[in-house]
Amino acid sequence: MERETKLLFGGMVVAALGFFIPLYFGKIWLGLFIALITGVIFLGRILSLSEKEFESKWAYRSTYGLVVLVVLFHAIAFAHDYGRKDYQKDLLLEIRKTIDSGATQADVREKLIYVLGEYHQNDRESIVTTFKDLMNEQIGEDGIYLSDFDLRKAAGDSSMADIDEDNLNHFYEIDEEADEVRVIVVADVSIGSDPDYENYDGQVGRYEMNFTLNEEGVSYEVLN
Amino acid sequence: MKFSIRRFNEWLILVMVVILVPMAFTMVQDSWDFLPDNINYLFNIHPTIVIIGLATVDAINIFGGGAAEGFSISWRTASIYFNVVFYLMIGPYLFYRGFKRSKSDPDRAKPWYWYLGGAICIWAFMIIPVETNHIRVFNNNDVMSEKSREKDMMRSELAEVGFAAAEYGILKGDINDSFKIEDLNLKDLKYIHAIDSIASDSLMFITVTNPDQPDYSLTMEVRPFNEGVLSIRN
Repeated sequence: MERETKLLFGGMVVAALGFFIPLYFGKIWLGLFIALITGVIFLGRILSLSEKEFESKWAYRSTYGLVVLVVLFHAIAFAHDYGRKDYQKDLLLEIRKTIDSGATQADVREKLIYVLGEYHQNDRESIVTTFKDLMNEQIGEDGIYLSDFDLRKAAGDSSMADIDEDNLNHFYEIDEEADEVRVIVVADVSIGSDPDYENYDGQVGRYEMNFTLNEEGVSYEVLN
Repeated sequence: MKFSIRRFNEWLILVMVVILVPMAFTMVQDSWDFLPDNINYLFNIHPTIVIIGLATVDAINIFGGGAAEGFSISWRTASIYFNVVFYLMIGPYLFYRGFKRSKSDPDRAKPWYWYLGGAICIWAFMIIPVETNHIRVFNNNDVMSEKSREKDMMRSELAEVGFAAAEYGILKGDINDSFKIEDLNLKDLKYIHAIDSIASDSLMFITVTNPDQPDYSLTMEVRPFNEGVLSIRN
């Protein structure tokens, strides 16, 4: 067997082991990196073996230059795409967070401001009573706050037919003494800034928003 | 050096193989992707595109509340190995073997595998335009994403101002013409918010603009005592 044939089979076996073993463990980038390195080493060996076959130094150097160009572009492609391996995921999660935040504000914050307006405009007894009167539909059992999505889904709204879940968990807490209502919203999908944060619903590291309603207004804060 | 018409012909045939074979398939099947998808993956010149594609599917699943599948051994992932071996090993090997074989031939004729290896090697150079285009597309995407993100931030900030204005109206009892955005005492506003008009003590219009995107603005209706406090007009 010719030397270059042995080199080819050896290279293919090394590249296969280097690619498929990491891939088996989900490390595809490592696998590709090893396969590319093996390919580059093989090209280098073939070039050095072929040096004496070239009729002129110029032809050899030109071929060498072309090989370097191909290798360089493979390296650029790898480095560029590896650098952006999480780009799509990060971008979509950021969009998801914007949607979650926007939908929650349009739903919860808007309603709490309406309660605040009713309380002040009609000189009602207390914030908590006003909340209970106006948000009767939203107040569920065991501190569960029913969002617009939950209510429309339960009512069989046809526009919700294709959406299984909004992936947002709503809760409320009432403090009668302080005359204050809190609504806590935890996302199932959107990631918060602290990966170890313990969310209100027992999840870890998820995006969490908190709305507090009292007679002074509605405060909104992102807890994670 | 003596000019050899035969050597010229050999290279000419090689270039024709690279150009004419795909063209022939294209004319017959009326598509540049003349091979079935699964076979096409085997001859992909840019293997990382497959990984980015799989990662994008995962990202969409996560976005929709599903689970990421990650990377496992499949036809598509295995094709990446074949791409590397095909373009960086088999092609150059056949080309070199053909070259070496022709040297020992009395007529110096090139064997068939020289043409095949040469065609693979020439095709391997397609990584250069493909990667160049790939980077250009990504850069364009970055610019578009940034513009989109900026618009989202404008909308979010306008909502923040709208809610604060509604609260201000409720707590102060009414809003009159002297009301200004500065009265809200909101810190770190990034964009320019202006009151378009105050129609009554229960309706006002606020517009947000951004000097970096002069052709884009948003106007919001704020109704402090209404069940629907905010609504975007455009």
